[in-house]
This record gives sequence, structure tokens and C-alpha cells, in this order.
Amino acid sequence: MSSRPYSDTPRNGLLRAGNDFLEFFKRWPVIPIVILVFLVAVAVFAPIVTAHEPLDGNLRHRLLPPVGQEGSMSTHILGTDHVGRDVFSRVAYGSRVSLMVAAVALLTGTTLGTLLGLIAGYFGGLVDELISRIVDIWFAFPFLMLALLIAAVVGQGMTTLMGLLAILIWSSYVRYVRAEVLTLRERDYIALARVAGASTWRILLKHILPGVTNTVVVVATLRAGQLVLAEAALSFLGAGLPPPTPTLGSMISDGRDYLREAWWIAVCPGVAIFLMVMSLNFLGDWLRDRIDPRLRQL
Amino acid sequence: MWLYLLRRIVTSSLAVIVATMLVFGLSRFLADPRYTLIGQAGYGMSQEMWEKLGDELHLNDPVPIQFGYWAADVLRGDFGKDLIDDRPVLPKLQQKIGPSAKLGLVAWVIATVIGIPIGVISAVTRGSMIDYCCRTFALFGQAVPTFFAGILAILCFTVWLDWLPAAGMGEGFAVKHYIMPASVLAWLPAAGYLRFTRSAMLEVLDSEYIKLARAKGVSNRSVIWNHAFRNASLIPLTATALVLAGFITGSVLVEAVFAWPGIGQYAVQAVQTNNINVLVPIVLIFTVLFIVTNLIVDLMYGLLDPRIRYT
Repeated sequence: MSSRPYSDTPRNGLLRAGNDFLEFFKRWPVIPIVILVFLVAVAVFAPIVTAHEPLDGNLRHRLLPPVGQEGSMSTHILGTDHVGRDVFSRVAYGSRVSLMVAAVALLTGTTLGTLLGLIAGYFGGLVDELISRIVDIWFAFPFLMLALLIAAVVGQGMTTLMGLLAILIWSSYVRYVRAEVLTLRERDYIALARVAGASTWRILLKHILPGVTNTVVVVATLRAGQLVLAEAALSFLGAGLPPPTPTLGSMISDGRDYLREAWWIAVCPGVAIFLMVMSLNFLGDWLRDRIDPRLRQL
Repeated sequence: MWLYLLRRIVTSSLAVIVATMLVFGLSRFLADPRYTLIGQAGYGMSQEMWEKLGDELHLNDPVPIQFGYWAADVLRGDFGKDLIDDRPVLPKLQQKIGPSAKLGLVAWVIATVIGIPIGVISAVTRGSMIDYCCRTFALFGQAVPTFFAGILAILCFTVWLDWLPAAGMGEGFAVKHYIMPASVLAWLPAAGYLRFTRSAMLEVLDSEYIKLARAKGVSNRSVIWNHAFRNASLIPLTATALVLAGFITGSVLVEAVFAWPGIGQYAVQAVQTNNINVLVPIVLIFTVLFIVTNLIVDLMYGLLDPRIRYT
């Protein structure tokens, strides 16, 4: 098919070399993994790697610039904010909070969505109809609006936030898992298991669940970045965790008022979010292409 | 076709009704509305007043009747009073819809005008430097949080270069005020359109009738725009629903960053002051808007592509 005008291979040599280079990184997502491991390590070991407490302000050292700029202090690598708190500590602890919230929400949402998908797909009929319609309506909701309303009624807090983020993602699992189960349940080995006297739950959890694990893992990785973004957006709007908990979103919101004097207050946490989301997205795309290219439309 | 239309309209209305019930339920049952509605003034309230307020809100009636009262108020446009200054919410909302709609429209136009043509170019030049640049643009659009993009824009164009104003919408149609918020808001949907257009174009460009057109000697430009794009252009249209969800979220964030005097900013202020009466109508507006747009897109799809028969 050399006549095809739109081929994947770049035209000139330099680009082709660049393409080979890119191909390698596409095959093995080294950079995203390195970045992610670094960010997770900083977050997990935040108490060890930071020299200051994230909440301790020192007014004599307010608005210090990051290292390398005039007037900076070597103990504050990324500078300090408007009340003299160390920006690096706050980014580290903020990432910690973000990642923890996202992880719990991901786990909860995944479990809930997978379970409902299994039930809808396996039992079919009225149950399926009910669950599928709920999912349809759920997709018709602008999530942020719902989150703002709930945050205002219940008040901000860790549990609320995790619950909100969990309900942000559960619906997408239902659709994919359900579709998968619909084909799996017709297989002979399921009929065999039923004949052998396996209980419904045993069939669902021991025989069908392993068959949908791939899909679930891919969807989870693709949703992880979205969760981090949503968490940041909510805390930026003041609907996330209440102060004084350091969160990346609220740091950006604080920093907005000091852009003129101290750009680093807003930019450092922003870059952290960006790197986190970007590497999670890359990793998700990679996993999808590796494990299950049928999920391309995700 | 008509049957499909009818069914689609019925399910959409159903979604609207369920949405209103959900909003009502959330605002009433997650916490006693008496706490959320009275705010600061409620401290030290006597038992009689507490019960009187319960009667006013019909809290002692069964839930469906409570919903009936509430829905009747909503239909009359009575959303209660802003809990901060005790003025009716409706006129304030009317005043804020304009700016939001203007910003949204400008951003939507930018997103379409940038996203779709670049998607076509990116597909046509697949594998070239241009293609990589376009895809990087899309990749970043989906990973940079909207509000952070806004902050960076302010830092760059207001603080360092001092070209554009950072906040507000100015008098009349002040183009300078629109540039930053509209572009930032347009980035994510543009990225979405770009990706959908690109993949649709790649699929179409590979088909037999394009080869035939080329073999006939049709000019490259004509092949791309008249033959291929016409067929590929439906895909980004169907993606609109997906893009729109991000767009609504984005407009709230952008309004918060750029202090845009619209609904989104009003909603954010309401969250910070637990102002339920303001939030409920805003959530309703956005939800209904979302559902209706999805419906329109679905129906347009049938009009634009006669091959689609709804059965």
C-alpha cells in the first residue's frame, strides 16, 4: 500500500529519527512513569523531603522567590507565599492530599461501577433497564454543578469530596463492564459453572469478573487524570477541602491575588497538577493501546 | 423518524424531571433546609420561629407535596431570596445570564473555528511536523487545568506584557476583555474537536470513494474539503455532547479566574457562602441547557445525514 498518501511514516529523515525516538517512548512510557514515580515519592515522603511544615508561616520571610532568583533563601527551594509558608512543602503536602483523595475516589467509584455493570449485564431485564437508564441520566448531568450544590449543602470535607469524585466516575464503568458481561455470560464455561451448581455470586465474582478486569484497569487509568483535575478544580473554587489543608487547587486560587509580586505561588502547584495529569493520561493511553485497543473511543 | 423524534423528546423531558427532583432532593434532604436557608441569622432562633419556618417550607407535609410546592415556585420563577442580601434571586440571574452567554458564544465560535480546520489539517499532514504540533496543542489542552491556563495567561499578558486586562468584561463589547477568557475557555473544546475531526478524517481519507476521486484527477483541495470533510464533519457534531460537559465546567472556572460578571462566578460565590437559593436555580439552568443541547444535536444529526434512519 505504498500509494497511500496518508501513511504513518514521516517524510524527511530528521523527522523519521524523531519518530523512531517517539516510537520508543510510545512503546515504553518511560517519561510519564519517571515523572509519576517522582511525584508520588515526593507526596508520600512529604514529611521527610520537606524542611518546613506546610502550615507554618514566617512573616519575616514572606514572598521569597524560588532559588536562583535575587533575594531567595536556599532553605525555600520554591520560595514562600504571602504569609511566609514554604511553597515546596505546600506543593508536596498538597500533592499528597490530591493523590490520596483521587486514589480513594478511584477505588470507590471503580468498585461501585464495576459491581453495577456486572449486575446489569448478568441479570439483564428490568434490573439492566433500571441501571442503564440511571446511567443515561447521570451522563446528562453537568458534574461540576452537582458537586457545587452538594458541597454547599453538606459542607466541605474529605468524605464529601471523595464521595463526589467517586460518583463522577462510576457511570463510565457501568457501560463498558455491562457490554463486556453481555458477551461473557453466553460463554460455555459460564453455563458449565451453572450446571456444576455454582451460586450466582460465585459465577459473577470468580468467573466473570476476571474477564472484565482488563477493561476496568484501562478505564481506571484513563479516569485517574480526570479525577486529579476535578479535585483541583473543586478546591480552586472553594468546594474542595476546607482551609487550612494545603491543596494544589486552593494554592492556585491564593496565588491569583499575588501574581504581580509572586508568580511562583500559583505556578508551582499548577505545574505539579499538569505533570500529574499529563503522565496519568499518557499512561492510560498506553495501557489502553496495549491491553485493549477496542476502547479507542474513550 | 417521527417516532424516534417523539421518543427522544420524551426521554429528554424525563431526564429534565428527574434532574429537578434530584436537585430538590439534594437541597432538601442532605441537611435540614432550615439550617442552610437561614444562614447567619439563624443562631439563637426561638422554637416557635423554628417551627414557623418549617411550616413555611412545608416541611411537615409528605415529600411529594413538598416537591409540588417547590416545583410550583420554580415554574413561577420564584427561587426565593439571595441569603446574603435578602433580595430576590431571579432579577440577579437575568442580569448575569447575558455576560455568560456572550462569553460562551465567543468561546464556542473560537473552538469550532480553530478545532475543526486544524483537525482536518492535522489529518491531511499526518506524520509531519505540523501534525505533531497540532496534536501537542490538543494534548496540552486536555491536561492543563482550565483555571491554571487562565492564571498563566494573566501572568503572561497582563503582568509581564501588560497588553490585556485581567478582570471584568468592560463597557459594551470590549474586545480586549474577551480575548483571554474566551481563548482559555475555548482551548479544551478546541482540543476535543481537533481529536474527533482528525480521527474522522483519517477514516474517511482511507475509503474507496476518495481513492476514486483522486484517480479521476480531482484536485487535492477539492478531495479534502468537498469529498472527505463533508462526510467527516458529522463526527465532531456528535462529539458536541461530550465537549459541552467540559465547556460548562470550564465556563464556571474561567469566570472565577477572570472575575467575569456571569452566572459561573455567581455560583462560585454562592458556594463559598453556602447560598443554596442561588445555587439551585443555577444548577437547574445548566442541567436543562445541557439536556436540551444534547437533544438538539441528536436531532440535527438526522437532518444533516439522510443516511441515518431512526428505527
